[in-house]
Amino acid sequence: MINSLDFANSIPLLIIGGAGLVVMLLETIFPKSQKGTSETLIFYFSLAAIVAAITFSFGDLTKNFIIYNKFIRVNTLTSVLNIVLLTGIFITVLSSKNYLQQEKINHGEYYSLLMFSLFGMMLMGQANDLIVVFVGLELMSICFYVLAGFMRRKVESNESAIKYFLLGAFLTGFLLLGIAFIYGYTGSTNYTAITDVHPQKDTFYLLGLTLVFIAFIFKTGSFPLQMWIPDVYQGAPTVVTGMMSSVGKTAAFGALISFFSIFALNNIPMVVAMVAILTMLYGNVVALVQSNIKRLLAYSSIAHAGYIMVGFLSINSFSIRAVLFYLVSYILMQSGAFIIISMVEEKTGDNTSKNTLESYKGLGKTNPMLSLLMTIFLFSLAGIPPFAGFWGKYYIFLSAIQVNYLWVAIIGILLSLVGVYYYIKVILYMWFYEPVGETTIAYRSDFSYTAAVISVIGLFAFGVYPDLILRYLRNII
Amino acid sequence: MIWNAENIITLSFAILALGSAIMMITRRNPITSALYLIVNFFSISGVYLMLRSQFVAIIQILVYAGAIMVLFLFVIMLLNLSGEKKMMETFSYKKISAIILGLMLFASLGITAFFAFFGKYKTMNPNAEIMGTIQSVGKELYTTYSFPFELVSFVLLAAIVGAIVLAQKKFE
Amino acid sequence: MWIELLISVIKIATVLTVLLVSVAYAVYAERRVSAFMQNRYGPNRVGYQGLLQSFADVIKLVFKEDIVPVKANKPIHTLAPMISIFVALTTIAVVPFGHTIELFGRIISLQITDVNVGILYILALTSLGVYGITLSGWSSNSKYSLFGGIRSSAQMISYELSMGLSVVGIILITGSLSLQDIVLHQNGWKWNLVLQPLGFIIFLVASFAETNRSPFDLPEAEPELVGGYHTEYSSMKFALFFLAEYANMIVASTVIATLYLGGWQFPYLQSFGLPPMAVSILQVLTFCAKVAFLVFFFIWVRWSLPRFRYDQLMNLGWKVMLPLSILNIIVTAILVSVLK
Repeated sequence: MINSLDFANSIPLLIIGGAGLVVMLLETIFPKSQKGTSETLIFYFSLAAIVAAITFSFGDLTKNFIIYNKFIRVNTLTSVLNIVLLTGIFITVLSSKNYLQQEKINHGEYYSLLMFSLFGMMLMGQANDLIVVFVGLELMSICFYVLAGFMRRKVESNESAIKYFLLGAFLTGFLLLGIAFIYGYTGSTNYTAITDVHPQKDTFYLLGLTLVFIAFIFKTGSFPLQMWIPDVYQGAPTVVTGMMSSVGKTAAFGALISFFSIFALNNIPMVVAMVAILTMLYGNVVALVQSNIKRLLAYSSIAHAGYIMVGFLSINSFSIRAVLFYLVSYILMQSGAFIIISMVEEKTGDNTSKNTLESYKGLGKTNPMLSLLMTIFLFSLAGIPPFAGFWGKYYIFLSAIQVNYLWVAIIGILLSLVGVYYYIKVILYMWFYEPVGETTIAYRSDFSYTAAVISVIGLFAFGVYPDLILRYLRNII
Repeated sequence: MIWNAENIITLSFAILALGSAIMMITRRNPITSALYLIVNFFSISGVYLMLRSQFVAIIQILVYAGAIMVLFLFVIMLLNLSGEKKMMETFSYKKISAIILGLMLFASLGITAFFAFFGKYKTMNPNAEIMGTIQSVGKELYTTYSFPFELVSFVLLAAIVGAIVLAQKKFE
Repeated sequence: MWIELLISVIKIATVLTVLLVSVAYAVYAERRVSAFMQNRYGPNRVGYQGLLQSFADVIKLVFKEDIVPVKANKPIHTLAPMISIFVALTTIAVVPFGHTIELFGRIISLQITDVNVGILYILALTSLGVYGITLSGWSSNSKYSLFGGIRSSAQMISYELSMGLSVVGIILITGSLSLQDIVLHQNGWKWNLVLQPLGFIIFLVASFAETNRSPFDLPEAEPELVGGYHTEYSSMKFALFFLAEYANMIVASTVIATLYLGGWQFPYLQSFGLPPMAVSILQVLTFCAKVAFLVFFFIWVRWSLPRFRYDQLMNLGWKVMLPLSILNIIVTAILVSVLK
C-alpha cells in the first residue's frame, strides 16, 4: 500500500504533477477579458513550482529508495535526471512567455501541457516498472504532439503535429508489444522482480527487449528511425522545438539508462555501435547541406543522439556519468540555441517564419549580443573548449575507449570534426558577412535573454570546472 | 491438442478473428471494413471468454465495439467517403517493400512465438477462473497497481486538454 | 448435463415468447393509452376491444412488398434491422424475473443466466444497439435516414456515459455486478429507488434516450426527418425496427425494475408464511407488475412531453446528467465508506 513515506520521497514528482493541475485551474480564475493577467500568474506560478521541485530534488540526491509499491525509484541517478529535466523546462518556460505573446498563442494550456509532459518525463526517469515507463512516455508524447501543433493557424505546425502523432502512435505499439513479451517471459513488468528472476537468453525475451529498444531508438531519434525529426522540429513552435529536442531526448535517454542497466544489455555492443555510428554519420553529413537553421539544428540533434548512444556501448558507472554529463551540457546548449532562433525569426508577408541561414548574415553587426550568445551555443555544440560541450564529448569517447572500442571513438571524433563545419558556417555568416537587407529581430524579451544567459553561464561554468557536476555523479553505481 | 468442445470453440473464435481481420483490410468500402473490425472484436472477446477473463471480454465489447467503433462509423459517415477507389492504390515499390518488411516482422514474431509456446501449456491455470473476475481485477487495480492507475488519469487529462487546444473552434 | 441444457432452452423459449407477446401488447397499450389521453377510441375492432390488433398489423406487414432503394447498400440494409432486434432480445438474458422455483424436485433459478458481470453485459449490449440505427441510416442512402443515424449515434454515446456512471452507485452499495445479487440486496424497504434517488432519475432519463423514446426520439423525428433512420424501410424489415423499439422499451423497463425497484422483491413477503411455490409465483407476478407500470410510464411520458431540440438534448446530456451522475458516485462512495 501507499504510505506517507512514499509521498515524502517523491516531492518533486508531486509538485510538478500538482502544478500541472493547478495551472489549468488558474486559467479559469480571471474572466476572459483579463486573459493577460492569468497568463502572467500562470507563468510565475510555473517557474516557482519548478524552482521548488529543483530544490527538493537536490535533497533527494543521497536517497536510495524504491517507493509506491515498487513502481518508482529515488536515487542519485534519478535525482540528477530530475534536476536536469527541471532545469531544461525552467529555461523553456522562461523563454516561452514573450514568444507566445508574439505568436498570439499565449494560452494557459501551454504551461499545463508543459508541466504534464515534464511530469511524464520525470516518471520515465524514476520508473521502476515498465508500465510506468510506458505511461510516462505516453504522457510526454501526447503533450508533445499537442505542443508541436500549438500554432493552430499554421500549416507547418499542423503538419509537424500530425507527422509526430502518427509515427509516435505507431512506435508506441512496438513498445507495448515488447513490454508484453517481457512480461510473458518473466511474469512481471517490475524491474525489481525481473532482476530477481535472472532472465536467461530466451528468444521470446530477447524479442521483447529488441522491440522496446526499437521504441527508444525512435524516441531518441537515432538512426533507422530518425526521419521524423527534421519535419517535426521545423514545423513546431520554436521554443517547443528547443524543448522537444533537448529535454525530450534527455528523458528518453534517461529511461534508456535504467533499461540498459536493469536488463544488463552489455552484450549488444555491436548493435549499439552500429546505431551510434550511423546516427552520427547521417546527422552530420545531411546537416552540411541544410539552408534552414531549424532543420540544421534538427540534423545536428540527430548527430548528438549518436554521440550519446556511444555511451551505451557498455553500461557501467563511468559511461552513465559520461552520458549524464553530456545530457546536462546538451540540454543547455540545444535549448539555448533555439531561444536565439526564436528571437531572430524572420517573418514573410503572410506571417510564416523563414528561419533561413541567410537571415543570420551580418547579425553580429546589427545585434552583437544575440550573435555572441549564439556563437557560444554553437561552439559548445561543436565541442570546442572551454565550453561544457567539449567535456561531454570527451567523457563519452573516453568511456568507449575504456571498454576497448577505440575505433568507435575515432569514428565519432572524425564525424564531430565534420560537424564543426556547419556550426562554424553559421558563425561566419553572423560575424563576417554584410547584412542582407533589413535583419529585424522578431521580438525583444528580457525573459528570453535571461534564459539564454543562464544557459551560457552553465555551459561556461561546467566547461571550466566540470567537477561542479561530476561530484554529484560520483554516488552513481 | 485435445479435441474437446472448449478447444474447438476457442479455435473457431480464433479462426473467425483471423478471417475477419483479413476481410477488414481487404474490403474496399470503409464501412464494410469497420463492420469486419467489429466482428473481429467480438471474436477476440470470445477468445477472452474461453480463457476465463469475463471482465476483459465484456470490456472489449463495451469499449471497442460499443464506443470506439461507433465513433469510427460516425466519422466515416460524416466524411461520406463515397469514392471507393480512394481506398485502393496501385502497387509501388514502397508498398511492395512495406509488404515484405511486414511479412518478415510477422514471420519473426510467429516463429518465436511458435518455438516459445508450442506444446508448453496444455492445461489451464487453476487460478484462471478467479483471476478473470471483475472482483480480482478491481482489487489488483486499487491495491498493487494503484499508482500507475492514477497516472493513467493524467494521460487522459492531457489528451483531453490537447484535443480541446487543437480542435476547439473559438479558442483564441 | 443434458437436463440442464434442456432447462436452459425451455427458459430461453419461454422468456422470448413472453417478451414477444408483451411487445405486441405494448404496441396495443400505446395506441389505447394515447387514444385515452387524446380523448378518442383507438383500435377496438379486431378481437375483443381490439386485443388482436397488433397481430393483424404484423400479418399485414409481412405480406407487404419489401422495397429496397436502388442505391442502398443492400447487405447492410438487410443487416441493420437484424442487429436492432438481436440487441433488443438478448439483453433480457441476464435479467432475473424471479428468485428460484421448485419444479419436479429441482431448484430452478428464474433467470436465463446469472453472469458475474451482468450490468456490464447490459451496458455492452445497449451500446451495440446504436449500430442497427446508424447502419440503417447510412445504408439507405437517403439524407433523412443519414441524419437520423448520425443523430442517434451522437445521442446514444452521450447518454451511455451517464447511464453507466449512474449504475456505479448501485454497484458501490451492493458490491456485485450480478443482477441477482443486486435484487437480493434490495429486500424490505431497501429498494435502490430509496437509496439512490438521484441515480434512479439519471438512469431513467438515460434509458429514455437510449431507447430513442420521446422526448428523446430525435433519430425518427417525423416533422423534420420524415421517419428518421427507418424512412426507407418497408415490410418485415420495418416491422423488425418497430418490434425492436418496443422490445427495447420493455427490456429497459425490466432493467429499471431490477436495478431500482427491487426486481422481483415483494416487500416483507417472507413474513406472511406462504408456501414456497406461492412465493415464487407471487414474486414473478410482482416483477411483471412493476414492468407493466414502467411500460405505462414510458407511454405516459411520450404523450405528455414535447420533443427536445438537438442542442437542448446535448446540453442536458453533457452539462447536466454527466456532472450529476459523477456527483452521485462521489456522494454514494462517501456514504458507503462512512456507514460501513
